[in-house]
Amino acid sequence: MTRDMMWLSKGSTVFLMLLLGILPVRTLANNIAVFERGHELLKEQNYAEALLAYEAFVKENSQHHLVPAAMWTMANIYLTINEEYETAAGIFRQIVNENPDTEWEIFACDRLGYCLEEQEKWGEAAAVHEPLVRELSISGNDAVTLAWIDGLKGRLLSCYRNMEDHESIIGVYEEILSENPAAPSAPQDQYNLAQTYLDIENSKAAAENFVLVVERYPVSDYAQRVNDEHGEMLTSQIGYDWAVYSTFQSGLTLGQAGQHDEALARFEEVIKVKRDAGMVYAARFQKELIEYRKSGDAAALREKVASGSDDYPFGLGGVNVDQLDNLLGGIVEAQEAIASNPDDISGYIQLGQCYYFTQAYGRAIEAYEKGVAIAPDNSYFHNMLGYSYINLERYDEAISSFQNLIDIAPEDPNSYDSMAEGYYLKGDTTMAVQFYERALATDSSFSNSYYMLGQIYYERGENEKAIAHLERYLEIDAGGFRAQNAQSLLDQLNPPSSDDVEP
Amino acid sequence: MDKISRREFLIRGAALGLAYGGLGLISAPNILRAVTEPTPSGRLDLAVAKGGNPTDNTVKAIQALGGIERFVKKGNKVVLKPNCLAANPPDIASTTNPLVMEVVVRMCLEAGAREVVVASHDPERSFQISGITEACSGAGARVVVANSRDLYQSVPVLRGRLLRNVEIIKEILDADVFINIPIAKHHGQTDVTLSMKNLMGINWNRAYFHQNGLDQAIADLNTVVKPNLIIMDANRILLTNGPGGPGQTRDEKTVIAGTDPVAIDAYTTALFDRVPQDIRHIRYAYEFGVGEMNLDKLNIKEIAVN
Repeated sequence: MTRDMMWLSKGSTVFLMLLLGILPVRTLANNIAVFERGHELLKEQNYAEALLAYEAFVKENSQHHLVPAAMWTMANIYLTINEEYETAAGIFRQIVNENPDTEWEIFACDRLGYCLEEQEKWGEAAAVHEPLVRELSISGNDAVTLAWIDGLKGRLLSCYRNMEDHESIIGVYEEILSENPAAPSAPQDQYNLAQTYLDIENSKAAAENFVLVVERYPVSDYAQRVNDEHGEMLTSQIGYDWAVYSTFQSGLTLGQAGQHDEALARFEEVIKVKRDAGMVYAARFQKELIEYRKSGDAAALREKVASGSDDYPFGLGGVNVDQLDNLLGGIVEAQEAIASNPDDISGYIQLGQCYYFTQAYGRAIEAYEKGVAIAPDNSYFHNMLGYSYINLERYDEAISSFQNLIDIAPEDPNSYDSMAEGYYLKGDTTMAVQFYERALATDSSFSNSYYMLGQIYYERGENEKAIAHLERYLEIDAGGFRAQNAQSLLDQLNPPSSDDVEP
Repeated sequence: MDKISRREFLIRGAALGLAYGGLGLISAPNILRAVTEPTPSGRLDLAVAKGGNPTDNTVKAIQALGGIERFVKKGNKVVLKPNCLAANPPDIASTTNPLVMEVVVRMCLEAGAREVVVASHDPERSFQISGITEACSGAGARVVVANSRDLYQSVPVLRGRLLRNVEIIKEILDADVFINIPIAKHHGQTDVTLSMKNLMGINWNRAYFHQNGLDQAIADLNTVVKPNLIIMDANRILLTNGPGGPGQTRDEKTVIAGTDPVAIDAYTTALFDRVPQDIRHIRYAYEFGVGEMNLDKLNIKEIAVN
């Protein structure tokens, strides 16, 4: 018997004695000290006796304002400590029923749902989540409530999936998308809706909804997934023309590479052809984004993003609004800091970083160059200058920046690794190999250089060297962000033999 | 929705007892011993010292409660939690007055404390600029800027409606005595920040609180950690633009001491022309039995300090 079970045995027995009238409950429990003793027992992790205290308090003080609190704590002990979900569910249900129109009702409903999910009672859990979502939707539209509703809808969907109730899943996604097609999760929800139709072999509805993913959210990864996974199906079934999507993607690539005028022309073309389809809104936003990259005016773009539900009914076409707003806010903040102290190094770091991550690389270069002017020995500025140039495909300037980095920080393997990357992207793998080797000569455990050498040798067909470097990478950084790619390359280089295949 | 009756519930509980151990003889559990102890009567709930300087007000308020020796015994480890959220000097009234902190450190050490630690999850710069580091270190305390997750320990929140776990500064969990020393301020989200809100700074993940319902999270946190003593610095209070300030301030020349966080916060709301029922985290904490918010049920003593 475990220690916890011993307590439970003791407590439960006393509970029986109380119930049978063996102990003088009435004289003992009609006192708030019992309730407070419960708290003390919780602190001592004596959960069985804490349960007993709360039970005694509830039994003898049914009208007391602390009864819901006592019952709540009991239910939580059963849920969290004892993992007795059915008992916990019973108490939460009682709290719901006895405290209508209070916070207790709402919170207990939420926990009741958890208890039912733990018991895999998906239908009952869904029946709890549905009215709670409705109640919360009526009662509040603040950020916290909306996040709660989102979470509940996710749990509701999970229940329906476990029940294989596709009709209800479709209903939830349609409701979510009709309520807010501009939500950050909308591309994923739209994709999942289409996939659900596909699961029930309603290919027409699936195709229509996959098209909406591409049309409304062409910047999102989900649009690319539709293109990759269902592109041919959409063309053959409903004659979807991918040419405009390709033009849009071409505009994105040109815009990111700093070829602003060419990018603007592509988006104009999308707007002209599509006229009033979802992709037009996304193209209009991309034009705004390019104007921002040209001007650097973060405040103006931020204002447009904040006020633009009419201009952008489907969000920003798959661009994450919150992240963008954070970055633009970071630029405004950094500009203010620099205005009050022109030598503020951290201000230039933040400014450059926020421009960099909004792909305004030209502006990032300006910020980092100012940083270099103030702090010429700051390796961060030189490294980021190099990467900003790389993104604009200005490789010679990148290599020059990385040379400065090496001069300042010759002991840092990252200096050589960055330089190697510059040469690799320029197409000079001979120099790239030399610099990756120098990175490893500086630090033999610098995992990224092993991975990149493995990749270069793989591309050159020097398989033995590729395998050795990729295996070394995995030895050092098995959980690293390139581990999956490394393993995938190794699998291609070392295909499993038939002897390795289990029968 | 199905409803189980209380009787069914009790029967289920009884069945559980049988399932786990039958009816073997046991000794009376602590709970039964506890309720036979007499409830303290006539004890002061709140001591309010008014009119003096921060040091004198603090000393008088604590003395009225029975003296620091009521709380701190010889050899105890004591942890103090100031509010040092913002990097402002004391006159902005966004941080606990360093004079209040200093005198409490000295009183604890004089009472025989083995160690006095001042800990909070706030920027080091705020500790410095508020004067708290200098005042507390000078008086003999160890200052812990709790800005690293390994300084925290996860604790289950069994009485909370929103939180299921919370990460608390280990020093506080290890302490014999925990004294919360907030400053009374306006707060943009919770209207006021008093003693219960000040405990936000003993927990690691503040962002979760803000994103998931700040008022409920504050109440939940206060069901887990109950200070042994609370000393509310209301010598100068911040009335607007809180919690960081600068904003409009008013010299109240007041220190309120007590052991009930709900009571102390309920009393202090009046300084902001509010009633406790309107401050959600106070109401939620009251609903959970953290303390008493009805001032007419409290034994309050006001002391004039010259």
